[in-house]
Amino acid sequence: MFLHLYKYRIKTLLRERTLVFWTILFPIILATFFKVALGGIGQATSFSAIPVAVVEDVATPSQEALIKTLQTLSQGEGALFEVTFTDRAGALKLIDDKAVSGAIIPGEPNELVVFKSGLNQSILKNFLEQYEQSAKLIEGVYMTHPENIEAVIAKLNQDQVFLNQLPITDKDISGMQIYFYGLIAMSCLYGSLYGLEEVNRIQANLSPTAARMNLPPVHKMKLFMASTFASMTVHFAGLMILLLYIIFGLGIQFGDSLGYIVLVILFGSMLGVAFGAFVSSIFKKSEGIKIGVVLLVSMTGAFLAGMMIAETKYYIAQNAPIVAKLNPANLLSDALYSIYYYDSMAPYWSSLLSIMAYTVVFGVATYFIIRRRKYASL
Amino acid sequence: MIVKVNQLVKRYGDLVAIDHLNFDVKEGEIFGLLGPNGSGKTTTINCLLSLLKYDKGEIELFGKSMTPEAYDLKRNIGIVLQNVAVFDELTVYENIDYFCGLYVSDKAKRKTLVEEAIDFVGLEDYKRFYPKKLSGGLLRRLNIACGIAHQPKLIILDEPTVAVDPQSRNKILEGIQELNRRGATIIYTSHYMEEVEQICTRIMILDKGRVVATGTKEQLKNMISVGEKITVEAYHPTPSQIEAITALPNIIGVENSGNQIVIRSAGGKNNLENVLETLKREQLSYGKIYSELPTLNDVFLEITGKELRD
Ligand SMILES: Nc1ncnc2c1ncn2[C@@H]1O[C@H](COP(=O)(O)OP(=O)(O)OP(=O)(O)O)[C@@H](O)[C@H]1O
Ligand SMILES: [Mg+2]
Repeated sequence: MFLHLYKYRIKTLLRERTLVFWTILFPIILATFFKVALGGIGQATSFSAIPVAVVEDVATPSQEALIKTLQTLSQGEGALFEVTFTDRAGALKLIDDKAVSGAIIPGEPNELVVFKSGLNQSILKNFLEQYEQSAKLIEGVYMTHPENIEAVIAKLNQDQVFLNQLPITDKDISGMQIYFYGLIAMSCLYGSLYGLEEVNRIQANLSPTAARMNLPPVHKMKLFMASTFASMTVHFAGLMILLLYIIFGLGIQFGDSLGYIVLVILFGSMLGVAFGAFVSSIFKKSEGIKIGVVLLVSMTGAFLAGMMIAETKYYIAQNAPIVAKLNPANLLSDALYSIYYYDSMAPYWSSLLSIMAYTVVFGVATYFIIRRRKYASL
Repeated sequence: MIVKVNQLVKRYGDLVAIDHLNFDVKEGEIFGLLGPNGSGKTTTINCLLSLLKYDKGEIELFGKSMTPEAYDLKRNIGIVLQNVAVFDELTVYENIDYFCGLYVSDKAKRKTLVEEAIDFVGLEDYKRFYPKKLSGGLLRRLNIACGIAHQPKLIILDEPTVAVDPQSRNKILEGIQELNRRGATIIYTSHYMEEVEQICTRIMILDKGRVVATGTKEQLKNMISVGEKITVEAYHPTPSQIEAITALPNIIGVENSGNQIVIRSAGGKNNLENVLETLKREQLSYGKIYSELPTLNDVFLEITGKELRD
């Protein structure tokens, strides 16, 4: 029975031209368009050191250790920072003049002053956060064997322990990925179009075929699950095609952790489907309105996650962190982002967990609405 | 007893769509549910099927209480709902196979059933067609095939001939009688009295959610006083000529519309003969003249005071 339902649903889905277009073809077209439009960015801006002002009124060994670290990281080829030592007023002036991306004020705790949000600023912020974790070690070495400090920092940098969540300089950090992360997030949320249809096909008051589906001697949930599983299969397969196209067809670097990316997409697809099912089950409005709602949410979400203008992502993260944390498209984009840009997997799992939480909430809510089997009106 | 409905009440807000409905359907019947638009036929069917919640009453199918989970009952029911319900992305064959598969898991058995259903509704030449490519009549036939392919014991059809060409309509009506001969009990709803008269063994007439009358078509026609209806094409009869006709025995009413006289008379032997003699005696020249038995429309008209079809 399950196989019968599953097989026929797959067949049906593959013949639904509009659905296939919007959920599979359209993202591929958009990805191609991004590549063409953004093509220049990747080549033009290979990474250049981040200009940063450092306030130098050193009092304690721990402050000295930080300064030493910054100095070390500003040396030679592939330097991460371009440090200007100055006093507090000087640093603020440099920020005002946009001569530096931000200013670091060593102290208890270490302070970061930035004027606007952007990629450089988040790197600075990440650097400081990560530094705190290795600070004890560096300070220890600095006080006992100052002559070894550079070697230790270099070693830490190389092992990527201490600059844990920093972009690594040989990666293309033009920010081009952000656009594609947004695009993938949007495509995942387009799964809502599938979820929407699944509910329309099983709720007797939503379509004549659904009424008919309520008549055979088969449990409603079994029908729904088999059919929804088919929807997820098709949607997920479409997303895989999109991913392969972006990586191998367009040559966008997403890093080597393909497994983690696939996992995000899998759960993202489930989130999309569950979201659509939820929207479809809560109101008895026309299908057109429901489609409008889910597309609006998907596109707005993706826009806020930086699909159209990458800076939007940073801007929202800085100025409306709640929105960033609640926006499902941004969670998906964050999860993908952290695979490529961070070495620690903690942010990845945290985003993924939020994605799953959303899926469960939508899924459970849908279940409670559609499990009813008799209708007051058809 | 295949179907037993007791004191069924269904309201939509303030509207009482079904008002204390009682009826039953016996094995082997073709039970007709006849009523004008909005009389509550579809609502009755949907309550029977446990699709709709109802406010009061009991419904038993095959002697057991009907619920959405009564799978042993559902297995034996075939339904053709009023709205065409097929999947646009599946072909004729696939649609029938899909729905049949919800009742019959065995593949080989299903294949035979599907082929039989296709032959039965006469869609052999359209197996690979998508529903969008079918005419209204063929689409209705597909809709029927999807509902009956699993060869159920009880078949419920809700206005299966609406918007269907005469050829398809006859095919459908004959098919229903054939299904009945093969052993299925049928519930058939329609607002076309001719259809119901043609195929149903027992008829229930509904109006505004209430039963107007139930019985075989003969029983229904015997319920009313009109036994015969004689229509005469005559050009401007004089009042005295009309009076002479009205004075004949058995006559219930005479209507004169200028070029046609409709004479309603109670059942009796020589009604037409009497009228013909009177026309001759009164020297009223006439064109066509014909006598009809009363129709279900006359039954409906006499009981409710309005036409069945508006
Ligand atoms: N979902 C609904 N909400 C409110 N009123 C309804 C609903 N469905 C039907 N009705 C009303 O209930 C009454 C019975 O409708 P129903 O559809 O059962 O009639 P019907 O005999 O099947 O008519 P038709 O020949 O047009 O199919 C009508 O007055 C109709 O307007
Ligand atoms: Mg109806």
